[in-house]
Amino acid sequence: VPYTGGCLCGKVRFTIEGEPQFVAHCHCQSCRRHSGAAVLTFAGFAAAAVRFTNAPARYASSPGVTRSFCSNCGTPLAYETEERPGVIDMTLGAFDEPERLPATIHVWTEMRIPWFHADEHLPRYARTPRDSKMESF
Amino acid sequence: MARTAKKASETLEGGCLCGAVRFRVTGKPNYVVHCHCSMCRKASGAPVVTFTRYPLERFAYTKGKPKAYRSSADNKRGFCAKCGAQIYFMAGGKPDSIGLNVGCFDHPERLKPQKHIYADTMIPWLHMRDGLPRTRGH
Repeated sequence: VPYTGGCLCGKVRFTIEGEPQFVAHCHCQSCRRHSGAAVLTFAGFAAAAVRFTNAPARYASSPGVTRSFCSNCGTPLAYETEERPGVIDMTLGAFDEPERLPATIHVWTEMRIPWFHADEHLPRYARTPRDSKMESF
Repeated sequence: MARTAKKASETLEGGCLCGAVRFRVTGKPNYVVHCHCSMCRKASGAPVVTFTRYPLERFAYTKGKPKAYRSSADNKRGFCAKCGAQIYFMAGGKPDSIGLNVGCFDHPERLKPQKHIYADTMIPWLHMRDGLPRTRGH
């Protein structure tokens, strides 16, 4: 069964075939500022697997990084980085059935808000799996 | 230990991801809550959204203004038109105060949540063992 989702107002909808490579809770400040939440959670899929009904608006939040959102209601929808070509990270809350996509890791925990406690049984990376070792408990 | 906004005079600032919108609040918030409702999830892309509420008289924009989206008959949500950042939730039933997305604050660690609302619609796999009280609905 494909994954489906979209923004709050419904202007942008998406369908995804296949399974995510990871589902990550990101604690970085940019993700906090984009979502307004304490953590932003992404499911990383092959970019070719994701079909949008309407193209979301795009914002280049740092060099090589693009964040997509709905221009009408603002819902943050996706994150893409040149460091991981061919992969698109879709925001978990935009999915119609987020219960189907349990988180698998935490990233950027060096920026975690001290009072935010979620899924503490999952592996944690101070930054990303690429540039930091997994933290032990 | 994170400092919390307890002093009547304390000023906290925040803004969107790109910096086009900035705001300032003064004094103690009315409350800080984790919201698990499905609309907050859809609006933010996050699994849970943390909000604080301040009286409008102690809130001001210092740069720019968000774009408003009427998310339901009585409610509005504000976001930055340039970067999409989620900034506020205005409830028709609470016209004298503004709900602000805690993630937008420069120092969110100072706004410690007190409870979970709409805990009945929390994502089943999300485990938040923080000991805070939980309510159905708000």
